[in-house]
Amino acid sequence: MHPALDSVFERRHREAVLTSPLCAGKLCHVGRVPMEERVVGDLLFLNQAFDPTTWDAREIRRMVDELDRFQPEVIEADPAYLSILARACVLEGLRLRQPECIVLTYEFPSRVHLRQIAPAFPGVPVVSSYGSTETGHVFTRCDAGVFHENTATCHVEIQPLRAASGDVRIGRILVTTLDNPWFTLVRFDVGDLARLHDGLPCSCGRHDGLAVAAIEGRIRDLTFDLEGRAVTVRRLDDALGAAEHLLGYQVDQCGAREYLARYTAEPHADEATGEAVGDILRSVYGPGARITVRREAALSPEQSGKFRLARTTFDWDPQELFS
Amino acid sequence: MTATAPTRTEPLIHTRADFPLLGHEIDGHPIVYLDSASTSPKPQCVIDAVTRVYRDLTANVHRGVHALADEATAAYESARREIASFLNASPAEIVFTRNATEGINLVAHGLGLKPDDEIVLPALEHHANFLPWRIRARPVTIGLTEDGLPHYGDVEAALSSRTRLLALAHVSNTTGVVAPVERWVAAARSRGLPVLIDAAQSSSHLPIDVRALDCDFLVLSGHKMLGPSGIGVLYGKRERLEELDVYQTGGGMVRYHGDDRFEVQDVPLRFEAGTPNIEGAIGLAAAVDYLRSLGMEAVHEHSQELGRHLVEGLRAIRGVRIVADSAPLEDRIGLAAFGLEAPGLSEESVARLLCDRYHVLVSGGYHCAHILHHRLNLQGSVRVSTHVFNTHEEIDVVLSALEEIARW
Ligand SMILES: Cc1ncc(COP(=O)(O)O)c(C=O)c1O
Ligand SMILES: [Zn+2]
Repeated sequence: MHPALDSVFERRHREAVLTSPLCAGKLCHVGRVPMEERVVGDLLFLNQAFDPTTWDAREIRRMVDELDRFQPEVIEADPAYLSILARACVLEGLRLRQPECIVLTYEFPSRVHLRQIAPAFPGVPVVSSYGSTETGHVFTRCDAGVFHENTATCHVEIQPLRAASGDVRIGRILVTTLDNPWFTLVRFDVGDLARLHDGLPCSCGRHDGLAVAAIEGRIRDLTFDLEGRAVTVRRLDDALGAAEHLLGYQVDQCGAREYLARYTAEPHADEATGEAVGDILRSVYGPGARITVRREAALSPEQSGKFRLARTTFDWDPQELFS
Repeated sequence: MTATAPTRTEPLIHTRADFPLLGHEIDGHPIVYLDSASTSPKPQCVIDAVTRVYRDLTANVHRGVHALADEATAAYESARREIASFLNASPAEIVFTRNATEGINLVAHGLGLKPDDEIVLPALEHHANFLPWRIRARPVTIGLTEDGLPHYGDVEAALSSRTRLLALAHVSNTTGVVAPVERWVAAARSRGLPVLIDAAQSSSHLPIDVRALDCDFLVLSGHKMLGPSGIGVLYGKRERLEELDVYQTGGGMVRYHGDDRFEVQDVPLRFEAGTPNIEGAIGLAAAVDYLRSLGMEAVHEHSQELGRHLVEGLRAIRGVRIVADSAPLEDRIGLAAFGLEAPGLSEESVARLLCDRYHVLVSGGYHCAHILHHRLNLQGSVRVSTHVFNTHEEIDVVLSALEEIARW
């Protein structure tokens, strides 16, 4: 997954999982379940609330204490959830147990979230396994940070966006498995978008197989600019990462030209943050975009437990986007 | 009407086209709807949102395991988000109820009040914000001026070691005056007591920010704010909601039920037993979205302007006694209740006459505030109340009708 993790993952290690109590698979982790019941082998499921914005001081304290007791080498977390815990601890002056590494998964790791996570874990490597969980052993990441197709076990295609619908260097990941003769997936759509790496060979020396520079986010989280071209979560997030004092955001595209951006910000942030969000979105979607920007007291996850940085509120056909 | 009549602007007149009810006629005459404090007409977008649920989205929420149920749940929860955002609350602090009345009953029940506990409230509160306290504890009322305005400033003196909560209407449904809730919140804060704000009349007339108000609870009714009936909202600070006893039990509010025990859901779902009013919540979110598209500042200004016009006009009519006439005009929304000296006509029959003869729809009676009327020695009152679609011309229609009636 990442060279920094190899040393940890080669040995037996403890992992604390911080995500929706639903994502973690066991509904019984909701509520007030003693820590012992949330430990499964080497895993500790930390969270017990559907909505992490409802964590109060007592819940934060509990998670801090449990991390101290459990002493995980790895924290595996949804970035939105971990950002809330990290920020609360920094504000309260609570020291979080430092793992050997942090793996962000389940959702696209937003710059806005990374910014809040870092100060609570100084020096701890933070890596993203987002986008490679479904694809499993499809890619190997090299020292240069490039994802290389594992040609022995699968065949990966990146079906590019049509020129009219976006950047043709970006496409959806289609996987055909080669290593299981009893169950073969043929051009299986994992639902993620990837950006092709320019120019092989890679600086790591590999020159065969497909190379991917970045995971761009989920297809279903695409939004569209005024010309109807796809805007990936990564593109949006790179842009919004520049807004100061931002703590979280959710962009809903409500029509061909209408966008609603909800955001939360540091308490001392003034209207300038909202104005910056509006300006950034106009630069991403087009100057004529009708953008409503709302500051919220809190942003909540969807039913799935995911916060979803972007989405459309109308249906569209993903098939039409790809050539 | 008066010689100094200012030029009136109608910045929200375009909204009239959004309300199909305004096209309704009585005896071939279009109605003048001035009874929104009782319940408001619905804009087309709310009607559409509700019918869409019946047409395209019928499925239960929080229970289903099919695509439609997922969609319905997402729409219901997104309504919660929309309403949270409208109040500057967090979605987890929004409980859907039937109406404001149920929100207050939920809190009154949940506090586990004892007969000796005291609840401090103005004497003119609506039954909904009086009886739920009265049947469980001792109400300590704040007195009224001669014209029916509460002595809000007396709140500190009314607090005692037995006080459990302070409750007051943000805007009274009989005075139409915005209460100095900040002062009550400050008084409560200094003693660590909770405050409940009844925003049934204010929620669609002025911007509300529960964080800025720093209130502990706030209730509202969908049907008075351009939304459907049968849906309301209780906002509660998270820690305050957590402290409340469970209100009703049933499906949806438990996550585990075995022979030995049951475990309740987190708030807010803990307080939403049984299948909720799904279409109501979605319709209310549409109403909130509509109000926001007009801008709550603009809505407030319009309401104030109509209120000012109405009260100034009423003052010029002989025999009219306006409830809380001494309140500054800028503190009013577009609502006034008044007694009228018209020989042989009760306030109720005046309201009836306004409908039958002038096609003007208003309220007449006690408006669920008997104590206020007793103290003012009024046998009921007539209440004119506006909303976004009302015009100054309509205020003039009701004023000249009242003038005629008063001259009989
Ligand atoms: C100030 C006030 N509070 C509470 C209520 C009760 O509202 P509902 O009957 O919708 O519960 C009303 C309704 O008239 C009201 O005006
Ligand atoms: Zn490489």
